[in-house]
Amino acid sequence: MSELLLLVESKEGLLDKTTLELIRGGSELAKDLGIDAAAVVVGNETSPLAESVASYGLKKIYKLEHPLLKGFQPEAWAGALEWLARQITPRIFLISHSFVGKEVAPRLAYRLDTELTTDCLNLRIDPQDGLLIRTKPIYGGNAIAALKCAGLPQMVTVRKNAFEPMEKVTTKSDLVDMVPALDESIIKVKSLKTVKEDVVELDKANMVIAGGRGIVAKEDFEMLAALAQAMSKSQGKVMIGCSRPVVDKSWMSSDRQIGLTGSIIAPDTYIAIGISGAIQHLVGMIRSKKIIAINTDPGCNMFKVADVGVVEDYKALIPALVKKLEESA
Amino acid sequence: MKGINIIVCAKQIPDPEVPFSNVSVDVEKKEVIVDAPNVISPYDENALEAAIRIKEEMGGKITVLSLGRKVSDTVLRKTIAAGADALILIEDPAFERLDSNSVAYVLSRAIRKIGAYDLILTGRQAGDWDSGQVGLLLAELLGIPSISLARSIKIKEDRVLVEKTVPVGYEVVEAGLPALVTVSNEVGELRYVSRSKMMGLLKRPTPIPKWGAKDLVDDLERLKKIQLVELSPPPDMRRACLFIEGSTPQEKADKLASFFKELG
Amino acid sequence: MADKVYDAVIIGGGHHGTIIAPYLAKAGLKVGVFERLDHLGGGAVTEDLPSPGFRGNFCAHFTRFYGHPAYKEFNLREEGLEYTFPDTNEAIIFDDESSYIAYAAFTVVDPKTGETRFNEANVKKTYDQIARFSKTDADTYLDLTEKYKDKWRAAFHKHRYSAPTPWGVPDALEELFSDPKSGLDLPMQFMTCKQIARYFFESDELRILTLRGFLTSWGCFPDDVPGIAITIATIHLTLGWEPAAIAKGGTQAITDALVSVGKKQGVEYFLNSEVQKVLIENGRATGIKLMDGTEVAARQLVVSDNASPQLFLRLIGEDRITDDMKRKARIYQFDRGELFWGTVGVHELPQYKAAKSNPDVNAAPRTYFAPKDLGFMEDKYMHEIFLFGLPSKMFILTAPDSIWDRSRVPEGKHSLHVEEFTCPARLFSRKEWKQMTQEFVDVLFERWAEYAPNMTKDNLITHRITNPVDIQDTHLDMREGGWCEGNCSGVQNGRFRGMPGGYRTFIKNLYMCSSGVYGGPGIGRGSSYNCYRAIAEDLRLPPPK
Repeated sequence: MSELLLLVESKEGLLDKTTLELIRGGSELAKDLGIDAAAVVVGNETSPLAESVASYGLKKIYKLEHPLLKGFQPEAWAGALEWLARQITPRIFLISHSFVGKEVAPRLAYRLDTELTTDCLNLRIDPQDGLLIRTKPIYGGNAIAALKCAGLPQMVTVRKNAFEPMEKVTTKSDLVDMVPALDESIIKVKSLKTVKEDVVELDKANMVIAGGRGIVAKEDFEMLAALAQAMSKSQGKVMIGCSRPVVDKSWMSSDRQIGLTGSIIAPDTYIAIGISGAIQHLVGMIRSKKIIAINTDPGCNMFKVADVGVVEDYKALIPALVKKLEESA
Repeated sequence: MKGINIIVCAKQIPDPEVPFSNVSVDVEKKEVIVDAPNVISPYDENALEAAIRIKEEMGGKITVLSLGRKVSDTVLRKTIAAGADALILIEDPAFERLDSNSVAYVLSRAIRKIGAYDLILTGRQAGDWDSGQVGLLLAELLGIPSISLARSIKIKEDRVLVEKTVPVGYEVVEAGLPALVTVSNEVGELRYVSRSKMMGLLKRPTPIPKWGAKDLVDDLERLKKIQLVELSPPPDMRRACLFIEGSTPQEKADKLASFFKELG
Repeated sequence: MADKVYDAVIIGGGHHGTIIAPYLAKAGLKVGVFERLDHLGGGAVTEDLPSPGFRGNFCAHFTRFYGHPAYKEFNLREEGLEYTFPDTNEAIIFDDESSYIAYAAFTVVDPKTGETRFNEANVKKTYDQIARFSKTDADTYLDLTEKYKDKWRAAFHKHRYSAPTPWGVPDALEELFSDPKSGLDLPMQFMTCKQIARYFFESDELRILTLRGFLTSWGCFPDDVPGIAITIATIHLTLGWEPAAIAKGGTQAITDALVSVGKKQGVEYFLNSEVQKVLIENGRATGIKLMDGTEVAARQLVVSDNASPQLFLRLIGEDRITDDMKRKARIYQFDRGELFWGTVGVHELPQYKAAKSNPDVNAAPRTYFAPKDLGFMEDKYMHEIFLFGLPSKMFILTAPDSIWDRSRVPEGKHSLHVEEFTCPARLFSRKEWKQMTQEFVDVLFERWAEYAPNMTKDNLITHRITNPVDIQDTHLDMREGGWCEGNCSGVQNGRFRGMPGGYRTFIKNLYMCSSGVYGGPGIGRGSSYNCYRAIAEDLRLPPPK
């Protein structure tokens, strides 16, 4: 029971930046405890990813390989990681608060009879008992809680950007092959197909124009689209986003949702139209460089975090703004 | 399959849409004080909507199971008004501030007490602690398959067919019943119940059983409270907002346009 | 070192801030007003409501500012504040197509000063209206009209523009109790609205209007104890003694006129300038600090147009106030006066079925339509509202102002203000309030069409209805979203309103002029005027006219 273990994730076959962040955070914790930091790569063919993660100063990389681990099937991954954890009994287990992490971590925590804290912003060791102090935002970010849990491994999922990504080092990690005992019977949820959709990546936009519950009709998003069109002449890449209620109404797909359970973005300019600014939404856009709020309610949260505010009905303002932008273009 | 037995787990939380000036942190007592009415956690409302749609299609029964402190009757009755058939409250001081494992354990005890079920629906995460664990833990405890982040749920014979949101789009998965599905907001907003319907309902009140620790848990020491080391207010997000004024929308729009001109 | 220095610093440029500023400046003080929002006037504002092309009052709508002493003192008519006075006054239409119109017993003879004269002809018309359903109530009307003319009217005016008297010293209205000819009975101070309605009137028609009138006047529900001031205000509403008045261009005209006077007197107004705290040294207010860190020194005084929650708990701070004050602040009640309120823009005005037998109901400045169900109003209305937010039977108030003020609507169109009561904001979630507001609009038009068949949704061009959450968010002292800065039934009215000390707070040189002190809510009430009188007394400034 001496290692800190972290789960390696990939994006389009390459090492995901969040893994490098975990390595940074994990290495520091391991150093504080005087233990080794290791990582696990899961899949049916782990070598390329294991190689690429081997140059970030970790002691060991476990290559957890099995034909059932092809792609991502939560039960198989949880089963394999459970097997590994029983072999090597890590002291701390870090996982990104990513799609994979959210699926695997709770199941794994249950099976290892430990307690998980999700979506942590910061981690430190309590010098008294060596337990992990887990800092996470609660009530959507209205309060920051620091908590401790019993149980081993000490297990958490970590929010994107919580740590700076690790840089490469000259030494190489040891690669350790592990073949978990898995059989098909553990898979109870069968994947029938995966349908790719045009997914909007809002984090690539220079300007995001977002609508919220204040937008009264689905067609009104055409006004926002017209504004985006007019803005794109001077403001770079402009995309349309929204707050949660818009997705709830099925007016927009969830890839356009900004906030705690949607995208967390930091564009140059963010225009919030008819968004009152529930904290869960603010978490997703508060790091925008300039925030412009358009709302009929001068008391709403969005004006409190905005750089520029216009108290006006969007139905009157947006067409007027589009007209002006086009005239002066 | 004819008629399906669905259990929806619905947590009550303070209205997450209140302005942040209504939320304060008592650092000494380590408590978040929210000056707002309690509501059903939004994703749990989505779960209830999903359940109602399944019931509308194939008939059956929906039981709403609610665990929480300061449970408000009126708020929960809304679930009945929207289409649930039964409502059970799980309320006990011993259940306050429990960690996710313990919450899942209490829910699993309540579900065993209910007995028969085909499908359990929960929100993808609660709007207060946003842990996103209880659903999956509950499935593990009950030993049933679980699927998370559903955006659409269909029942086909004795199987549940789910479209779940994945990073590249969506994945269609299926599992045998009974199963647990956590629901995301793409499913759709819980239908609004008109006041006249609510009033009609009050004339035929549904009994709401209340289960406490003695009804559900023999081994209270199994329940663990969240161990808070400290609680602090968030960093200040406020900026000084420059309000653009004008007597007409066009005047405001013109000023705003020149602001963007300077930006671009 | 302070960034700015004034003789008098006013926290908040709401309605009372804009009234007291010119008084102080006229007395020779250098005055600075610091407002959190991007506009002045508080409840007296008119905006592009419900949508551009229309003008509507976001908050207060029914005003008689021509009766406020400042109207004459500052020649506000010269500043553009003009009223028009329709002949009709209150009207109510019932679901059996019966109706009642009150014609003003006093009509304005000089719109410049608002001077009125007793109008026998109108009294006769009102008498005839009531006699159609109750001879007894019609006679009561004549009797009370005499009492109003001879006793109540002057006392009421004096009461409104005087500071409350200490306990044990009768105020202008309380003096009426010792006058056997006043028709007022001591227990009336402690009667409920329901009792008052039953005491004065025997017909369901006038009882219903009185109960709805208690809500219109001050937000009191039938089982509330209104106290004598609200009782007189409401009977006055039911019987329509003083003329309805419509500010040309909306209530914004009041603010514009007052600010224009203020600017001429040298008052400086600062917008988007939220105050963070009152600076206090050795028990004296020395200035204010703004949210952006700016410090403003007050050479002589600080006046707060905020009410107790903001002023005492936030700007002064809980650490400076006594446990007793904290307790009082904690139990201060805000649970009244919550509304669905707003403007609807329509193609044509409502054509009421009731107009067949009573043509003027189509053009009364305050028109109610309501079921003739007194039992419901008395016993169930409020309970349904508190349970569900919307009652199953609605008692709607409408105001077709565009008949008299065409500046508020596009050519050929009309707008009406609408109002129904609802419950405190805390009882429902924000999402539910939005949903309920939508339902309110749907039900409003369903009901309206029952009384006036042309009032279907096809006639609707645009609407903007606010709910208590909207009010609570924009007006920080209007907790729970009522239009009062705290319930103003008996226990929180008169000398009991606000914190002990009233206009003079426990901090030296710190005064309070908002509707959170006596004078109470509503445009043109006396709190700021009375506050100025207190200041003038303390600082030996000239008294107001």
